[in-house]
Amino acid sequence: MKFRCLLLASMILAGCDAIQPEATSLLVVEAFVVSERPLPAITLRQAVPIQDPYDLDASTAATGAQVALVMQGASIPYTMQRPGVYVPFDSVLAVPGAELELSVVWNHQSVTARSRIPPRISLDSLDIVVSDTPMPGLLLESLFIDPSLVDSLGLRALGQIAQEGLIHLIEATLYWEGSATRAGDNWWMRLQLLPALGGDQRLGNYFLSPEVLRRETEIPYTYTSFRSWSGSYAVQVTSETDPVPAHALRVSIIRCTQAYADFVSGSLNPGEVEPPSNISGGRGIFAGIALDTMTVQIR
Amino acid sequence: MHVTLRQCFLGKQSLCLYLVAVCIGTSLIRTSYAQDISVDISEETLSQALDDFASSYRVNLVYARRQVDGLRVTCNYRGTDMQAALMCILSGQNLRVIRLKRRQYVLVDKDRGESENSSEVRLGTLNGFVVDSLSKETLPGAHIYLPGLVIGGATNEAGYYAIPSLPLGQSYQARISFLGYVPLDTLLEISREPATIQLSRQTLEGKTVLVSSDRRTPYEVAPGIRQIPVNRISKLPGFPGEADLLQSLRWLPSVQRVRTNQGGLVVRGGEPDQVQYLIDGAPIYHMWHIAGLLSVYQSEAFKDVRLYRGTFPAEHGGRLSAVLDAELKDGSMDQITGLVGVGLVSARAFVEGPITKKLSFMVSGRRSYLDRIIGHTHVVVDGGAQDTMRTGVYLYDISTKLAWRPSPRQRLTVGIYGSSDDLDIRLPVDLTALGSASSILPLGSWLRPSNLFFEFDTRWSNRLISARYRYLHADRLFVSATSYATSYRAHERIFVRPTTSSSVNSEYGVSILDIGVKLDIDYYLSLANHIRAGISLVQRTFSSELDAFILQTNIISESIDEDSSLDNTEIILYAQNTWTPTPRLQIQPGVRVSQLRGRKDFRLSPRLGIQYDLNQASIWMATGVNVQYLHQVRDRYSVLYDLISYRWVPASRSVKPSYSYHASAGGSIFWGTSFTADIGLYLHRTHGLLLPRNEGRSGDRLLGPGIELGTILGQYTRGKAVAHGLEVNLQYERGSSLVWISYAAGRSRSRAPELGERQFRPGRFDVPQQFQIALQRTKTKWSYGVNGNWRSGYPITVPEARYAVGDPLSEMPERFLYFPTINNGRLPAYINFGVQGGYQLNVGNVAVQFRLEVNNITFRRNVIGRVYDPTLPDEVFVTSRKGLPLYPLFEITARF
Repeated sequence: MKFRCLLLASMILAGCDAIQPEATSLLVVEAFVVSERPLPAITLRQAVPIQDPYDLDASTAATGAQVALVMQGASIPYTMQRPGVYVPFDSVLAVPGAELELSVVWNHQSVTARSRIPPRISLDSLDIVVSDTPMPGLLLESLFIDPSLVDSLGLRALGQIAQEGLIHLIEATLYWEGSATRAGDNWWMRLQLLPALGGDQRLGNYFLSPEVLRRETEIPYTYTSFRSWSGSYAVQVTSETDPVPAHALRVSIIRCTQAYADFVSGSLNPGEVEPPSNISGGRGIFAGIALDTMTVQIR
Repeated sequence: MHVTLRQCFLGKQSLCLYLVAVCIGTSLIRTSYAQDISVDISEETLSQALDDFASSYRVNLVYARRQVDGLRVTCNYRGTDMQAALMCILSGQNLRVIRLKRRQYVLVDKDRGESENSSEVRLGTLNGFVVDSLSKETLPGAHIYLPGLVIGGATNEAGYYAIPSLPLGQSYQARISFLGYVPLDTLLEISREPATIQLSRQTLEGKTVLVSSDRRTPYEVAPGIRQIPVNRISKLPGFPGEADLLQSLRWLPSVQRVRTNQGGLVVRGGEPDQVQYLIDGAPIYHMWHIAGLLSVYQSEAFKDVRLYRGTFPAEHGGRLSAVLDAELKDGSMDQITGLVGVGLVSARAFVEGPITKKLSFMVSGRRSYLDRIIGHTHVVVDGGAQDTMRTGVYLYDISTKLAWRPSPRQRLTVGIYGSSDDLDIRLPVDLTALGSASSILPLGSWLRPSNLFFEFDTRWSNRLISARYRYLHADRLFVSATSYATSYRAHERIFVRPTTSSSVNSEYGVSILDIGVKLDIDYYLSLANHIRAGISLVQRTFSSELDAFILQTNIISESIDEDSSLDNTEIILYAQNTWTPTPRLQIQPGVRVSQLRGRKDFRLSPRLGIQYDLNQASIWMATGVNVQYLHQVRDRYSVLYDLISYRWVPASRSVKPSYSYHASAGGSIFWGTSFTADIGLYLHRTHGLLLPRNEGRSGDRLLGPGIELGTILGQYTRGKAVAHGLEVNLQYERGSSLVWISYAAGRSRSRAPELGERQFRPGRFDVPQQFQIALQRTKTKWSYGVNGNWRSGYPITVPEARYAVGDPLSEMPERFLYFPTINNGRLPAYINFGVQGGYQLNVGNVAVQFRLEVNNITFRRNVIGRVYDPTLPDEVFVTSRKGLPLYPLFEITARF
């Protein structure tokens, strides 16, 4: 009997599953301090259980928080403008190179974050090349395959997320002043081509990379002080004689910290991983950035 | 040489383990130490006096009845000297007593010419080889037991046994046994040449031989070692109905098959790269065929397979969880026999036989045949357009061995092993048609000539050549020298043309080459001490290269061209003593010292095993330290490479080796001749693991950061792991019936302090409970069985909340999942019931067998993965990936 009791106890102790779900009360910070622009609004939200709907309204806003931003040693108080959105009392410009420190107290939680404002950036010029005639192309949304569609060959699932069609290839080359950064700087660049294509255009840009994240010092100079990057995207058409549909192209360049680069890089697959956060005690991102965008019409 | 305690891994935990072990061992020994002896007999028959003395003081006496019949003795003795008491009993008789070891004595006649001084009695070594009666294949791990002396031993890897320090001129009653063979009771005598003992298999030509045995003899299980009888475990269901050894190992408690890309076994919740696979003493790095369906171990080709879990004998090391040591058959010396078989996936053949009186061979091969049926290249025509589809998918493995026996004392074997897999796919695909098709059939609906296609060619191979020379230098000294070269190569090529002006072309290769030499020595020092020692030197070369080119447009391209080459040389020394201080107690201390060339510090890995034999049971404990110099890593960002060919990287200044402390204890209980129960507990603590910095990340981009070692290692952090558990294995085998039940309860957890993890969280292969049962019965021609497998689901990381964060370049915030802890959830339990049946008929001298297995007969679709989609505004959408509802497997074999 003792042996059986000992055996039973051993089995329970050895095999019991001690996984316990944790209670969730999480503050999420969204704040981007843009170089040489007024200090931004800071958005505070709260996480909700996964079985609940998540609406971007007052139901998820974090209200009643105490927000303070310190820039170059000076504390800038914030006040809530509307639920979850906090703005500075006074309009203050973000100083390039300034160290930033954010502290938020909400619902007995205290979160902090640090960042730095990069040098200002501006697009200098933009070259765009459009293909003369459309060509066959694979239009692939992503390589993430819906597991419920995976059959023995995995081909049907591929068919669900990919199409074959005719596309125009559009190449864009951006130039910007790159001498503001020095060899020892650790600034990152986020470069993006975002075409505004209406309807059910299904762009497969997986292989074309209309967006890239790269350390700025790794991008070579094209001219003496200008760096450049070339990206491309596809525009779907239905006939071999169709010209490129007229559309707007927004070109964006962001100079940022590594924390922001990690956050963007980690946001590609929100179903599997969380983007790395630089918020101590919470989630989200607090980053100093330098931003410039340009929108052109493609005809 | 500067050696700190930490470098030697003799930290506090290790010392504690050893103190506990030494205390237990000492207490066991002390139970049989000096005691008061009182003999008071008068004119009693000598045989009765000796029997009474033996039973009163638990002494083993060996003598012949003829020596004592009709003799009467008188003795009055009080004291503590066992030998003096016996001499008192024998006083006045023409007999004297010789002490063999503690509590073991033999009576010899005085008139044999030797002096009264026992030290001058001529002693010899009872030695020989144990072989299969038909094939003459040596049987490693067979047991020789002398009931009269209650002593014995096991054969070494060459099937050799030696029991030294026995008086010459005596006959010794012996029982020789080996799992799967009929035990043999015989008389052995010491002679100049080693004896050859032949054991017969339990099942011959399909007829079951009932094994009669009064009890299980001691020494059948060395401390901490789990030996697997190949012919028994291969009866258990495998996949896909073919005799695949590694598939069958999952029937052991705490051993799981994992279906990751690289495949592998997980032992006691460890990682797949913590198990070392050896063939003829040489390592094999990638032991699984395509998709992990089959292992490269084909049962018929192996004569001996040993799985060491946790604590290994000192000769083994280099991994933390387990060592699977398999030895190819030498080839039958009797006649040419063989087997051909066809299963669901592959066809196989096995032939062995003599070439000359001293030379034998074995050849075994297996190859998939799907590509032979459907072909490799296909012309795809649509209207006037033409294209080529490639479906080159095949695997093979082949093993050969030549064994030359120039004399009974010598054997030279040369083994060659090779395996290869190739997936060469080229699909010109009309994805538009595929996406809208309700079924993938007919193929013509989506397989059309196309400007767009993808090609995928991945191949990997193992190559091994091993030469082993075994020489019985003296009765007490057995030498084994091994040299080997083993390599693993993998090559992945992907070519995708997503548009007529874009392409992705990636070639990636990895290779490992090991060249090693080993010298192992068995020295049978005395009746109580068997010393095994050796030295090993291995040179490892690792290389990898990546050449990827992505052409986005005519002017925009991206490329990466890197290669990496590393090497290291490891020297290993080991020594181990199997000490049998009392007939029931066996203690096996050992130590293994290893050092990498160029490193000043060396690694000391002590081991200790203790076993105590009871009448119908045995108890054991084992503890030790293991060191692993290799890590398996992959680029966790890219989808172009590192898909199957995970990289092994050696320990270096930047990558320290991982090491583990292990302790286990348990026992075996034997009821009658048929029923055996094994119960064990284990505790395992590992340091220096490489854990992914982002456990949930899968490849999400074409190019990752590259293959440079520092870059890859940047995706990992050092971590710790702990595992503990209980293992129960019940076996009932009587006549034609086999019942196999295994149960394992355990936890394995890991922690990465650099990631801020303060508490251990479930490891990747943490399975708290696992229960398996197999019932099988064989009649004259029919065999049938049922089996069931239940285990806890694997851990998964479950989101606990959802949140949204905006971005300067996005109009709407993106929704994300909150994963506060890794592996905080678990998939539903895995349950699988199966049935199998077989029929055998004889066509002339050929035995033809049909086997059919049907798995998952309850049509349960086990959940094997789960994905969460947070992007919808309503609740998080959860999708489960499920396994097949039912799958039949078959094999037809013909044995001649």
